[in-house]
Amino acid sequence: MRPSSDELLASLRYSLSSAILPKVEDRWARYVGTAMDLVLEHLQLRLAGEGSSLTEDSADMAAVLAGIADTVAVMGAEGDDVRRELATSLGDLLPAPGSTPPPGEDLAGLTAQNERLRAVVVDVMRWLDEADGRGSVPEVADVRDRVYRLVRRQTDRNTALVRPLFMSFGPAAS
Amino acid sequence: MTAATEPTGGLDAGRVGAYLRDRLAADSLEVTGLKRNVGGMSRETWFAGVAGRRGGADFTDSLTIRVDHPEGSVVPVTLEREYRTFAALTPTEVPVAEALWYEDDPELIGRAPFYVRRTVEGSASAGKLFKPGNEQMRREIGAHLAEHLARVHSLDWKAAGLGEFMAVPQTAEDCALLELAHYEEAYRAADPEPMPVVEALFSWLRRSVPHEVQRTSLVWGDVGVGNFIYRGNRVVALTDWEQAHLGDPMKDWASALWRGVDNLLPREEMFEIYERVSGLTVDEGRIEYYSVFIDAEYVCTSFPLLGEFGPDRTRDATFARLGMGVPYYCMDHGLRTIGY
Repeated sequence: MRPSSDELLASLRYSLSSAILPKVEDRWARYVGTAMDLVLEHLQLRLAGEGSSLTEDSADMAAVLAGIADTVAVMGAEGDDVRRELATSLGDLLPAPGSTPPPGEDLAGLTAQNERLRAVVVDVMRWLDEADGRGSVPEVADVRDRVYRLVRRQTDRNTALVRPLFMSFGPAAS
Repeated sequence: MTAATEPTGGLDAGRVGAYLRDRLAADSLEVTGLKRNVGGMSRETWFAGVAGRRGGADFTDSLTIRVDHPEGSVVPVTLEREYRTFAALTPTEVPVAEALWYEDDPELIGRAPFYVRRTVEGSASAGKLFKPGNEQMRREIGAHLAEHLARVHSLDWKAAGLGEFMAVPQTAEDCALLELAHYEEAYRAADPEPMPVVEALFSWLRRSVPHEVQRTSLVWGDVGVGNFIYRGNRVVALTDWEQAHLGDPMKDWASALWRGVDNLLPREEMFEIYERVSGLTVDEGRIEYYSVFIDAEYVCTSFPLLGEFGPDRTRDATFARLGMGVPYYCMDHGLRTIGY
């Protein structure tokens, strides 16, 4: 159907910025209008990239969690008592291989699967904090580093979609 | 249509006028202007200009009304606490707008609670400050701001009564962890979607908490251009005290630098003035820690706004922008600061 969603959003932004905002004298109303324009810009990026971003992000999380599961298996098999206990408690949090349901084909399905995986990652992060209380275990530090690098990649994916909305509160010159 | 009867989209000028006439003990009073402040999103800020007669003489006054958004405040701090902070600071050497009245009766102006303070003449505009040609003005304001920050951190907060309603840290770690727990609780109460990046910041802040603090001070909490009033080349009032608490003064430097005050005056020069006036020593390591803290704090106050959107409710576009633009920026910034 033409015009496309993206073209319609571009049209709305054009009208807002060329015909409406220049005529608005009230500062608050202009502030709201500018926010609307930025939200529309975000929507353009989101329409174009949200689905693929969610798919990529979920695959990334699944791969990292599978890698952690491998570490858990080694810790459980070859470690001392502390490592075996840690491996058991961490293993309980991880999804069993093949247990993750396939994502739905629509955006809601992709989002739901992504949130399920993010919840597992959050559980693993809480486990990491608890594991710190068991002393310095190199495998724990390694898992934390892998999770934090995953989080960096996730943040980059979100940033690509949300950057038009960024607010830093810094002065204009900074 | 006069200014007093123009629709204001939130406060009724007639009711505000009647209330202020009583409070100011005026024989007659007209609201000559009632405008909502643009910027600062934690609460609504309204500027009311009034003119009237009292005791046979004409008078004018400028007042500021602070009121929660109809849906509540963005910051997990009550309006009453904010008022009490202003009231406690009013008689001290820390320059703030004079706190006048806190009200919880919705009949007075149609919204409650709210409080009134006297408007300080001057500007908070970053735009004016950063106009070309104002370089010397910026330098002098930066220096004066550093002096005021020193005064905030040197304040005898017990004598000012701030310890009566602010949590008092018992250890160096408390200086960070009490506030972290407060903001984390507010974040979790909003039941946000699972966010590994936010957990990463919380975890790092707990694991990296400073074990030393030079002095437990009043912390302004939200230091930056736009959060103070200047007149000429002098800072005449510090504003935005809603996130104030007792803790490590380096948190304010983290906030100040996060918001780019070193665009006024190089940080080394500001630190030198601050150390001379306060007797405290700037600790860059703790400033970096609190820079991440500021990121987490902004996430906690802004991200829950997204919970206000749903199939049967909505908020205006400024909240969509605030609820996404601030936290996602802070997540990225915080993660970089901790090395990821």
